[in-house]
Amino acid sequence: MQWGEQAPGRPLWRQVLGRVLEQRQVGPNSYLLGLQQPWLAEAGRPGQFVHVRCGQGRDPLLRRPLSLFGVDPGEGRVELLYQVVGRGTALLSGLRPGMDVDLMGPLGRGFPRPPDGEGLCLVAGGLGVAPLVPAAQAWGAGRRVLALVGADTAAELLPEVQRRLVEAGAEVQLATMDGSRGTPGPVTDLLEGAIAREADAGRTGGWVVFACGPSAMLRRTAALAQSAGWPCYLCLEARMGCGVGACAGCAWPAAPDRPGGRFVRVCRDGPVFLAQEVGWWE
Amino acid sequence: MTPSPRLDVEVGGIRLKNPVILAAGTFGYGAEYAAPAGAARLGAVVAKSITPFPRPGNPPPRVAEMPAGMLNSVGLENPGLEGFLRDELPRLARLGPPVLASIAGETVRDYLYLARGLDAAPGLAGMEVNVSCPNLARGRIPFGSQPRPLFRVVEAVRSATRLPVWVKLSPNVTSIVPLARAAKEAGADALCLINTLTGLAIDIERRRPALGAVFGGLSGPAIKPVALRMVWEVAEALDLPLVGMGGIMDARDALEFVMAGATAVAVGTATFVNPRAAVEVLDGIVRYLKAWGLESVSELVGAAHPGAADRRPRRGAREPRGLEPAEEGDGG
Ligand SMILES: Cc1cc2nc3c(=O)[nH]c(=O)nc-3n(C[C@H](O)[C@H](O)[C@H](O)COP(=O)(O)OP(=O)(O)OC[C@H]3O[C@@H](n4cnc5c(N)ncnc54)[C@H](O)[C@@H]3O)c2cc1C
Ligand SMILES: Cc1cc2nc3c(=O)[nH]c(=O)nc-3n(C[C@H](O)[C@H](O)[C@H](O)COP(=O)(O)O)c2cc1C
Ligand code: FES
Repeated sequence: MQWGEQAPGRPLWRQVLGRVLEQRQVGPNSYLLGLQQPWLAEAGRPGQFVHVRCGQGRDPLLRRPLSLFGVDPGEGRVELLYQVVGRGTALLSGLRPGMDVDLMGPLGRGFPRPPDGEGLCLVAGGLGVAPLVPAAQAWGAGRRVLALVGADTAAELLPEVQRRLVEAGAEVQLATMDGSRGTPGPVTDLLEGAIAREADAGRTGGWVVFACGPSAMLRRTAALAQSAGWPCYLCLEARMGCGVGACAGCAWPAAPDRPGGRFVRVCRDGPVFLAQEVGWWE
Repeated sequence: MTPSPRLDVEVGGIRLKNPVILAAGTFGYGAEYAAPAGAARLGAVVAKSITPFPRPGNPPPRVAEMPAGMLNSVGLENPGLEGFLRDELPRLARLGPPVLASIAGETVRDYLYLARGLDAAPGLAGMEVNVSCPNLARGRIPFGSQPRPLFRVVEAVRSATRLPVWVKLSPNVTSIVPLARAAKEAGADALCLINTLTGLAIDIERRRPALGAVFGGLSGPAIKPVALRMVWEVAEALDLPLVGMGGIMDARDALEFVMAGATAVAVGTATFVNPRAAVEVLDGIVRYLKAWGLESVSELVGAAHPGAADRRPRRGAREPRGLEPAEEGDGG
């Protein structure tokens, strides 16, 4: 996997067809979709997503956003990692090698390159791990990478994901809500532990946090990172219409003190935001 | 080779090189879709509705998927008149096709203010009046739901500008014709129909409305039969150019609107699904005209109405081949 850096400004996206190379079940409800798509493989950056047309007909109608999970520009190959949660993703799981999928991408503002030498702390809840693996692959060399990976149950901790994280040089720590594997409880407990250990060792700073997962988990992550003084980037999820910044459907509250509007657009201004840029609802 | 059919149409004082328009609110202000959607090839573009001053829009979630449709509660998030004139209109004007601004307000004064402010705007071909907004003076009942308030809004806009005025009707009414008539009598140059149908979805896991604003507007294929019926009714009742929209996904849908009485059609939600939907609609219309040997798209306007029986294919005429789109290639 080779990932480049995202240039500033709006991403240049295209509507393209991807030829299915591989559809592999990697967990109870999770699949890895490998596609031949040279443009996305070339242009995709960690944290960016593609807007996928899941069926041919008029129902389900809208596209579904999925993070880029892997790129291989040499082979012109991209990978998506997804969980079947509804009709759109169920249709995706029916794709077989040789079929074509209609994709728009790469979309959105991805993760920034962490400053040289700084440790990278990844905090993943569930399938939120999908955009974080690319960050480890892109920027893991020459720095410490701590991957904190949480899920509801052991079955949802995907071996494929852990393998890639380890390959990228990350130290992986696991947590499950039901305690069936790793530390019992939310993945943010692992972050709290990591912050405490650094403090005990007399170290402050030196880490950047990248997080993706359910909103409550992100909120807690942002609060912990802030108290530790670690810069924190969140990859947010919102229901989307267009996926390109045109419809204002994917609004997320901006931080109350942020100039330039009460809402940000997840698809265009994000999906990756500095934690201080965004607020919370519910 | 048959000569290329004529595609140009005149809609309420604006000449369009073809009858396919990008609908308000579904391609932003042009920055995101201009190139991928082939906007330069289209008949016109209608910008997202603006209000006198910037509005933040509704709390999230703002979109929900519905059977063959979507519900949205974006809520007129927009940069206001000044922001539109400064940041958005110049870029829209550079796209090429005529640009209409869509104006929305909560009082007649809001509409007046916008119409005056846009009247001399460089690069603006006309205004579309969005009357689906709550009327503060009437207990928030939308202007477009009652003939009197609708008449007053359109009359005010008409008095404040020399630009062509299109009025976009709301389908959330018991009978559309009295509203269409009120808009015409107040001086509308053309009518656009329909805007979204007000709807509700409830998330049973969270036990609350799926959208932050509770209600939203339904769009997409789900609303097409309602939209077609309304275009038909208005076409039967009045003589005024109509722009038909609501669920147009391809040229077949668009041609249904034309045959129901629309001079032009607008593509909205379909652009989200397929950014090239509008240009593909255009290409499909051309294929249809050629296949049937028609000289101009105008020949089809209202062709399905009883009075237009002489414009139908003769009994026994077989549908020509070649109407289906060519095999889709790599869209990039
Ligand atoms: C930028 C971005 C990147 C994403 N990356 C991935 C990824 O790499 N892998 C992955 O499995 N999922 C990812 N998601 C979530 C994914 O888009 C949704 O799971 C998917 O749209 C569900 O579609 P569906 O038709 O199967 O489910 P639906 O029938 O539409 O809904 C089923 C459930 O999924 C939830 N859901 C639906 N759409 C979204 C959405 N856009 N965001 C969050 N929740 C949603 C609904 O609330 C509902 O509970 C991402 C979302 C965003 C915004
Ligand atoms: C996300 C979204 C935003 C919209 N914003 C506007 C708007 O600002 N002004 C307006 O007059 N109509 C707006 N509409 C309505 C569309 O222009 C169109 O009338 C309607 O969606 C029906 O057409 P469609 O089914 O092709 O989308 C919006 C529709 C959608 C889906
Ligand atoms: S999904 Fe349309 S603006 Fe983000």
